[in-house]
This record gives sequence, C-alpha cells and structure tokens, in this order.
Amino acid sequence: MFLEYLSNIWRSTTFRLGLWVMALFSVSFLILGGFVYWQTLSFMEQELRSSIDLELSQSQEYFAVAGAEEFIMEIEEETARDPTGIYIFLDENCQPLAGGFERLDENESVQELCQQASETNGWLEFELSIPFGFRAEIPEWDDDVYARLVPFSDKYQLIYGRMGGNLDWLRQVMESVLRWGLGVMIGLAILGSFLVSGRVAKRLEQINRISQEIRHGDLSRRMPQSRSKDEFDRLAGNLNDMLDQIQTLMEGVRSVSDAIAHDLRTPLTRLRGRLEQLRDVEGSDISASIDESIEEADRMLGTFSALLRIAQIEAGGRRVDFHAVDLGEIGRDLIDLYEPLAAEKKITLGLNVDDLTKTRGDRDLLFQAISNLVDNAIKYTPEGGSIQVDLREGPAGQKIVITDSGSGIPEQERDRVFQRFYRLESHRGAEGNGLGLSLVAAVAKMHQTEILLEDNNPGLRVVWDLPHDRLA
Amino acid sequence: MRILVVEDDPMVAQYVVKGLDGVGYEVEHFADGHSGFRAATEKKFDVMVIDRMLPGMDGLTLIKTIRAAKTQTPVLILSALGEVDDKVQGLKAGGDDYLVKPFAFPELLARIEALVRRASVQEEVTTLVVDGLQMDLLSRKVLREGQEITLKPREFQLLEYMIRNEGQVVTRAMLLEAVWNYHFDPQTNLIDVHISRLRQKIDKDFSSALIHTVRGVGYVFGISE
Repeated sequence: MFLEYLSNIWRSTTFRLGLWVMALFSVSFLILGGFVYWQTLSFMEQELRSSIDLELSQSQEYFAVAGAEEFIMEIEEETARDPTGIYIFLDENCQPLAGGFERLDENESVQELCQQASETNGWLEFELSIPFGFRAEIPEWDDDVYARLVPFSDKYQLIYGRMGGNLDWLRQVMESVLRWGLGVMIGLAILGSFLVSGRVAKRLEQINRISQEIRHGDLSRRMPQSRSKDEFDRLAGNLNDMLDQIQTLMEGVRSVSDAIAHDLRTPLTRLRGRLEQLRDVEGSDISASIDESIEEADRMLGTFSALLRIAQIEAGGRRVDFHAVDLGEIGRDLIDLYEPLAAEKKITLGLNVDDLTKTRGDRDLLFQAISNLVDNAIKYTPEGGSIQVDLREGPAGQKIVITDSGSGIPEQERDRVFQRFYRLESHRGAEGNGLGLSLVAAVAKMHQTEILLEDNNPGLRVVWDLPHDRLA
Repeated sequence: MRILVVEDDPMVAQYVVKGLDGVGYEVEHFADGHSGFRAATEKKFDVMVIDRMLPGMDGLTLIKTIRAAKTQTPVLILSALGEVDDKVQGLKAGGDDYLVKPFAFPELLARIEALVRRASVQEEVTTLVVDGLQMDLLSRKVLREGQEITLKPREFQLLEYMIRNEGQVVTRAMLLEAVWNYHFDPQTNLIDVHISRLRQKIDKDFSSALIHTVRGVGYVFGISE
C-alpha cells in the first residue's frame, strides 16, 4: 500500500519536476557559495600577506638604522609581547639567532622552513603552538601561521609570521554552511516536491475518479473547483463546460428519440387499428379505409423525410457553396404562393420589399425556411387577422421581419420551439409535425444567421438578420 | 416500357425495381457505372434512372458518356445530396430530372412517366387541346366548350403543365418545381388551394371534371374513364 503510494509519487510528473528544480538549485547554490567562499578567503589572505610585507619592510628599515644588536633586543621584546606574531632572526646559514623559534612544532625545524622558503618566494605556512597563558585571550584562533622569510643584508634573514587569525576558522564555518545548506535544501526540496506532488496527485485523482463515474453513466457529476482559480480550476471549468454541452446534446438526442417514439406511435396505432378493422370487413367497400391508411402512412413517411432533411441540412452546413440570391424575388413568389391560403382564412398577407441587394445563400432552402415561417403565421393567426412580411435593406445587411396578429409564443417557450417535435401545448391538436421551425433553425444556422422571436403585442414577430459579413 | 436502373445501394435498388415491376414495367438493374454504361449503349430503353454516386464510373460521368454516345433516352438522376449545386450539375451533365433521396415511390413513378411523355412530345405546339378544353399558348386564351375562361398567370402555368402531362399523375412537388421553380416540400395544403382555385374556374360550371385528385400522390388531368 505505502510502497504503491511511493511508486505513484515517483511516477508523478510534479515530483520529478520538483527534484529537477532541486538539483538545479543545489548546483547554483554550490556555485554561488563556492564563489563567495573563495573570494572572501582570498581577500582575507591577501590582507594578511600585505600586513606581513609591511611589517617586514618596516623591520628592514629599523635594522638598517639600529643595527643587529638593537634589532635582536627589539625582536625579543616583541616576541614576549605579542603571541599572535612570530619573529625568527637567522644568520645566513639558517641558524636561529633570536625570536620565537622554540614555539615551532617539534616536527618542524628552521632548516626546513628555509628550504621551503627558497621554493615559494619566501612565503611559508606552518603551525605554531600558542604560549601558555595566552590561549584564553584568543580562544577562537587556530595555530596556523602565514609567514615570509626575507634576507637582511648579506648576513642575516628574518622570518616574520602572523597567526592566520580566524581565517581557517572562517573557512571551516563557510564549508559547514555550504554543507548544511545543501543538505537542508535537498531535504526541503524532497519534502516540498513530495507535498506538492501529493496535492497535485490528489486533485488529478479527483478528476480521474469523477471522469470514471461519468463514464459509468452519472452524467450529472461535475469536477470540483476551489476558489484559487489556478490552472486546475480552469481545467475543471473547461471540463465542466464540456460536460454541460454533452449533457445538453444527450438530452436533446433523448428528447428527440422520445418524441419520435411518441409522435409516431399514435399514427402507427391508428394505422394498425384500421388494418384490423379491414380484416373483419367482408366484401363491402374498403377502399376509403385503405386510402385513409395510406394517408396515415404517408404522413409518417413525411415526418421521417422532414427529419432526414433537417439532418442533411445540419450535416451539410459548412461545405455548401452559396449563390447570390434575390430575397425580393423570394418574397414576391412566397406571397404569390401563399396568398390563396391566407385568403381562405380571410387573413391579409402584406409584403413590403426595400430595394434589396443580393444576399448569399441557398435559394431553395431560404425559400423553404421563410415559407415555413409564413406557413406557421397563417396557421396560428385567427380568421380576419393580418400578416406582414418585410424585407429590409440596412447598412449591415438584409433583415427579414414577419409579424402576425396571432396568439404569439410565450417568452419562456421561445427557445424551445426550435427543438424537433416541440409544440406549444395550445397547438397540440393542430396539423403539422413539429418540425417546421427545426428546419428553419437548421437553415438559419447553415447560413450563419440567427432568428429572434419577439412579441408583436399581440402576435409574434420573427426577426431574421442576414448580415453581409456573416460568411466572411 | 423498358427502364434501366443503375443504383448501387441494394435497398434503394430493390425498392425501385420491385415498385416498377409491380406496375408492369420491364426493369433492368445494374449496380455499377461500367455495366450500366454497357447496357445503356447496347440496348434500347425508354427511360433511365441513374444514381449520382456509383462505384466504377460515377453517375454524372455515366450520363455525360451516354449523351456523348448520342443516346437521347431521358434520364432521371437519384441523389442522396439535396444541394442545389448537385441538381444544377446533374441537369448540366445531361440529366432530365432530379429526385432527392429519400423519396416516395409514387413521386418517382410520376416523374418517370412525365419524362417518357415529354420525350415523345417533341414538336413545338402553340395550342393545346384536351377533352374539350383549348389552350392558346400565344394569346394566353383558355376556352372550354366555347366559353372563355380568364386565368391568372400562375393558374395558366399550372393548367399548361397539367395538360402537357395529360392522363399522368403529377405530384405537388412537380407542380411547385414547374410553376414556381422552387424545389421544396410545402408544409400544408398549399398547392391544393391553388388547384382548388383553378378548379373553380375550369370545372365548376361544367358537367364533368377535368382535374382529379389522386390521394396521397397528386393530381391527374383529363376526363376519367
């Protein structure tokens, strides 16, 4: 269980990313730390060496003025006074004449120092014991000494050295800071990657789990979102929007298939009933009944044809090559075609056509769509009413406005009337298959236009905008 | 009557062949363009029904090749695509009529019979005379039993189309295409209203009716036997 958890963590991208960042930081930390370390130490060493050089040159001047004996006395005095410096006065053969040569470690000899100095331009590094009683005053000092050997005239040489002071201590401190810092950083980075990847893994796991639930059929589930609006929330938001869309589509499909089942069951039942009756009729005239049955079957076939036609328009929506269409001609033909139908119901059918430019579209489908709208207007406008078809030309494009004096469509139903088979409750009994406006919607969408249903007080006002720039 | 059917979809082919066979026509069916072309050029047919999309040689190419071979048999194109462009292309290639799937068999039959009839009436006429009704296409005068009948332009066109297809069933969609030049199916009894107006003028005051309704299909013109 825990091993599996660890292996999950190890496989997690975030965790690995964390480790990479850690490695990068460690390297840059080491480079930076090393640079500071090296700079600081070399600066301090430089300071020490120049102070040694200064003391040596002053000593040379004093020697030149005071002579060897006085100089030796001065050295003895100085040696007793300052335990952090060391003077060793030598003759030309490297025999110590005065100074703190007895403070040298037992494994170092003055001879060796001379030997060493000849190879290093006089510079020396060695250890020195601190005289008893001075230790307490300079507790943090180590025993390292930086020194230089210089010849005094022809007969003498002087080694002057200073204890490194806190140079070595500082080196140690800095080294341990680097070591510890690196250690702490690696530790924190591992912990951080662990925690972050754990958090990320938890959120991804939530999304995975919910995806699985949705796949198993619970389409109402949604991805959780926190308030932080981070990329996970945006991902969850996008997924949720997608799910909403899928759900709407699924509901659409379901309601359409429900509607098909419902709308076609009724005529099929009637048809079956009639055929049943026909079987029982003996010899008498059955042709009327057969005609009715054929009509029933034709109506069903018509419904299927309309459905297929809508599907075809929707599927073919983008690949159609449109032509220039004269809306005015369509309007006049439409009135010509529908005038007798309107006259039958004593409805006045008016047409008002501006001076129209050509629009781009499919002439037959535009005609079919507008005719469906006019058809509906005639169907739902009571006797003696009026219908007005306006084709207007504006700076942005054409506008088709169809107004009637019928019962209108309640505001909350206006989106739904475009769905397949959706019919207003009050129109349930009327002729038609509930697909007319679906076809209009499909044609409008194919032409990349929108249709607005508005209130005409009383009646319905259909506004169909055909802007010039829609097919750009 | 001999009919050639070139259609690769077995369901549609069966529907068409069985239907035509049922009304007594002699049907030959081929499922690809090449064998369809061979049959079309080697044998004589009265009408051909050709699908737009065919394996081997597509429908439009087939029609063009048939026309190039100087065969003038009328052709009805079947197509699954309902775009205007297709219709125009099909007619340009040499097709005579165009029907979009899915279609009802009576529609197909009416169109096939109209095509055959149109092919047989070749000469230009200026006067149509049927069962006591006389139509002068130049002066646009209509007389029935000597009485002049005044018709509006659309009514005149409707009547002319029906007379030219006398004795044949014409569907509502065929009338819409012929008179208004729109290819679509009207939702309501749109055409019926126009026909009933025409009837008012032509049949109302006379003893016998010339325009008859064929239930579920359309209309037929002429004194019925």
